[in-house]
Amino acid sequence: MTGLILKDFLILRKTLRSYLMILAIYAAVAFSGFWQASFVSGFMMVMVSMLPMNVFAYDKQCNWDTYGLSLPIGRTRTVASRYLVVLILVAMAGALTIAMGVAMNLAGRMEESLGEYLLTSAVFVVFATVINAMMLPLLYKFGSERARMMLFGVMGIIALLVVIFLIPLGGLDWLQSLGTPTMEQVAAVPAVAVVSGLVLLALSFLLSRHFYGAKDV
Amino acid sequence: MTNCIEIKGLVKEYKTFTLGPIDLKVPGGSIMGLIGENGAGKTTLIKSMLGVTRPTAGEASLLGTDPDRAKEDIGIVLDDCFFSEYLRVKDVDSVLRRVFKGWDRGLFRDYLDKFGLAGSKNIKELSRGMRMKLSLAAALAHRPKLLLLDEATAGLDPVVREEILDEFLNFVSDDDHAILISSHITSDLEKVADYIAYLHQGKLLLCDEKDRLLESYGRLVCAREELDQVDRGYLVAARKSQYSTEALIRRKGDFKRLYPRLAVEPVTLDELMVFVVKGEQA
Repeated sequence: MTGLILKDFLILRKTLRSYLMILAIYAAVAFSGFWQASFVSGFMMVMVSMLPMNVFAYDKQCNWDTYGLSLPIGRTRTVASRYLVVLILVAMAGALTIAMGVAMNLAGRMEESLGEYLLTSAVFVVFATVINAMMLPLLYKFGSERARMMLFGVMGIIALLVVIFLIPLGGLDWLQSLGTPTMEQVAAVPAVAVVSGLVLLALSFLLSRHFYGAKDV
Repeated sequence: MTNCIEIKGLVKEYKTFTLGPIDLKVPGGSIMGLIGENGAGKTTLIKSMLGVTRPTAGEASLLGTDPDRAKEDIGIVLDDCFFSEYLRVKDVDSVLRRVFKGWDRGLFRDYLDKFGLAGSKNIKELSRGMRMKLSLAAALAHRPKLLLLDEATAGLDPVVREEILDEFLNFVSDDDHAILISSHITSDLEKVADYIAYLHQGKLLLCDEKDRLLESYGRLVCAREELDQVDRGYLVAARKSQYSTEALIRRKGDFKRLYPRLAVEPVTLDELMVFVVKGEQA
């Protein structure tokens, strides 16, 4: 399984390098005070959400699946390795986000408080996890080209669900009425985010394994 | 001698094509050449026996066990290189040594040297022939017992092809080893194959020892009137044109004794295929 994980990272090597360069530029801009640090962490999570799609597209390009299934790995572990790649990517992006926030805070270059920044970043991590959990079964079922189009549908559904839930509660006014979260609430967010993200990924994995198990390559 | 491949009643159904039912055995220490026109089902057969494509019916046993259990000892080359263009040649070593327990890095490097492949080269920069060489190196470097090769010599120059065919012959000198190779280059198969299986429109038309096959079939060249007088039981297929009449005949020895004045020439695998596909069925 480590072979497959390594293969994905080697394929993404150039993309990751260019993403890191863009990130460094964005972080420098955030340091200069032009925009908030949380903008950079949001950008990072959007990039992380796109990466698995690239891997599927690259695999399709070289017919990897046919070869991959001839290796002594099996379909379940093949799917599991892809999920681990996603988890590692999200964790790497999360770690970079925290490192950047702490560095900016120590340098006194952060507009928002560190607590607010970490809370926002945790939301972005959950967002990236949710997007990947929804995307991966689609990628296994429909392939990268159709799933890419479906991503926009997935985003639309999420936006719609947010609106549907928010309107009866009073919309943005309701959100503002919640006030600033307490430190205890803020501290609970990462734990809740990690647990709910992992549960969602586990369900997503079962679905992907089902699709890939039935797939004729 | 045990069978390295045993296929029983294997069927794979698609909407517009059905492979099988196929029954096939490849004994250890031998090479079976799989021939057939494009779309005959050669790749589907290889994928189905591996479980890469789920067979509709039937079963395959590889190296005496379930295909999933045998994969550690199988080397595979399909009709194209399946390593991403974004990888370098040496990345294949980094990935596959974590996949195969028996991966031999030294052997892989030896094959790269033999095939003139630089480890630092991007796969994107390799020609089709060089990519096939890389696939072969990857298929051989974990010291498999069974090689499944789909058009593995396509795109290679004659010198390298010769070297690879020698490699195959060396490989099957061990009685535990076997090769199933599909190829359109039938001259390669005539050189190295012990058995020939001929797939036509998803059905196995012929499967026999190569020497017996080439010995028992012959190409009859005669006048149209002479052909009309021949016992139909000997005729497989015929090709008639304005200038010549040719027929593929079976039981060549008996035929020659029965019709000593008719000219019967040896048949090649290419001619055998062309007769079956293009000839009129007798």
